[in-house]
Amino acid sequence: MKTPLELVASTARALGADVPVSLPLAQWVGRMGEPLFLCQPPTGYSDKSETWVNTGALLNRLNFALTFAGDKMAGTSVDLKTLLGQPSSADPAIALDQSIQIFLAGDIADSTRKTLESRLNDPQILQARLDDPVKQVNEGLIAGLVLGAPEFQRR
Amino acid sequence: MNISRRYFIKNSGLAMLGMAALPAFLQRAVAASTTPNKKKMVVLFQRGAMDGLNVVIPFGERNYYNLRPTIAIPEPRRGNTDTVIDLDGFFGLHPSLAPLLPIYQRRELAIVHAVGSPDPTRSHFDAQDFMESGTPGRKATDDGWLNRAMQSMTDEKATPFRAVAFGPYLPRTLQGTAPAVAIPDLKQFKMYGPQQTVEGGFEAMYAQTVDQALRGVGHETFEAVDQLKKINPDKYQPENGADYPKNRFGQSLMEIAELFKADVGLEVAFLDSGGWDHHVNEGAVQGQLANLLRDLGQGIAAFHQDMGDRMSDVVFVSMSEFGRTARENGNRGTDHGHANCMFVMGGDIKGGRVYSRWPGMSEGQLHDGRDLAVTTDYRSILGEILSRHMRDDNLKTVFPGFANDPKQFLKIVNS
Repeated sequence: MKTPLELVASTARALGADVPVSLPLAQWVGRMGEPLFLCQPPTGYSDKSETWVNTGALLNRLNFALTFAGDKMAGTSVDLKTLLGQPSSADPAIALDQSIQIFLAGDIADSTRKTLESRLNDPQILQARLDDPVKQVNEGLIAGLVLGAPEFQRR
Repeated sequence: MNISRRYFIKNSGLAMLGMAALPAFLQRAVAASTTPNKKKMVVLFQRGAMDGLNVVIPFGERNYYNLRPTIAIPEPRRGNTDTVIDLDGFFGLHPSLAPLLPIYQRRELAIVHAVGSPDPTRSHFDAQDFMESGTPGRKATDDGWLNRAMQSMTDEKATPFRAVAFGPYLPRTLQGTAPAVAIPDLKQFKMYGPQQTVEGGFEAMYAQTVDQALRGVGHETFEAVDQLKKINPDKYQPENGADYPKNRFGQSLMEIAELFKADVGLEVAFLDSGGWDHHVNEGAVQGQLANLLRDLGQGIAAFHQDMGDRMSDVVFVSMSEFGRTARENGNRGTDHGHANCMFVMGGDIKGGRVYSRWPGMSEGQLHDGRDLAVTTDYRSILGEILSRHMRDDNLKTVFPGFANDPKQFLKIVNS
């Protein structure tokens, strides 16, 4: 498992985020259980997986991925349109493929991929309107799901 | 008072007729409720080593005043609120703890003094580690005493909220193979984004992952999120005029009361508070320690008030890694010592008493010539609560290597 700091840093890198203000990201590291420079024991933060796998922390990891990929993180900005490429905004399957390639280097379990594919027609992802034939794919949500996947939690 | 459906069913005449007379849908409703009077426990860890001698003051001990010329709390004087609050003619409360007096007088609050871990370490880290693992002197233990207690009391109906730490991470006390949840903030315990896509998507991904640990935690997480949705933590109103301190400590206590009342299966709750390490300018009637104690007293009293009659099923117990030097130091503070005091509160508790085999504070009586000696092992207090309140009969696995003989219990728990 990635430690919270590793997860935050790797997510920022994967998203190619512009981070002029880093405090909000540091606060997320704390919410996942590793407040920076505030470790109580002198031995420092654990590098064992078990330490970082618990219910509260996992929920924060998932919410972090959704917030960051959805470009709702204060002090940072993410440009998914450029990162995933133009075709992604019209086709959720392309957006998913691109996300898996870019964030996970294509290394994903079949079951995870199937789950993600089964969500691609959700109205929240398609954001289709009856009066507007042009789809505006919610790339932030797709990217957030991929970044919250079990695969991205591991080193 | 807000009368829930379950409350109505439990307390209405219908219940007296027995299940057979109930309509089928009501029978199902009764059967579905988790056993509401299951015994519960709240554990507070005060990190940094609380100065027990200035919290529950042995004012009957002359040496106390000789050793602490500037930070001692003055002997009780009637009508003077800046003195010790007399409890039994020998011990008394710091005046900041006045909110605890009514609970003590109702015999629902007991104090244990000269209690602690037998290990002589004066390192915060080691002492906390030993106290939380429940194995003083042994570094290799990798789980906590409370987690082992949960392992030893199996419960097929356990919910994800059976063992909860109110804070950002799982403390050593609750680490181990029994499921336990860390909740930093109940109100934030939900998923951001469109519910169906996000929860459905993540739940399926984690349910199928090959990583066993992630799969288990994923399952607990989604179940917990689902259950919490029904509670609506934003709307919680403490009962009976309870007034919690407005800080993390008060917030955590309030959330514990909230989860107990919501009947989500919470059995053991853990919270901690920091800032007890006063080497410099500790203060006396006023000051740093007094401020922390004000929150402590107000918080515990608010919890007691808010829980009301439900306290009959709950035991609250506090601990800190070690006490502080009997003598004040050159900076009007105190340094790392040995024995401390513990608060034990609940309807099951034989309160209104300070339990202590008092070791004395003269030169020859002090541990290493400087600290209050430990005459009661903290594991015997926790052991008694687990055994007589929680009905855990596996103390040997909870506190390995410690002979927790029921005959040695202080009999602090009614049974």
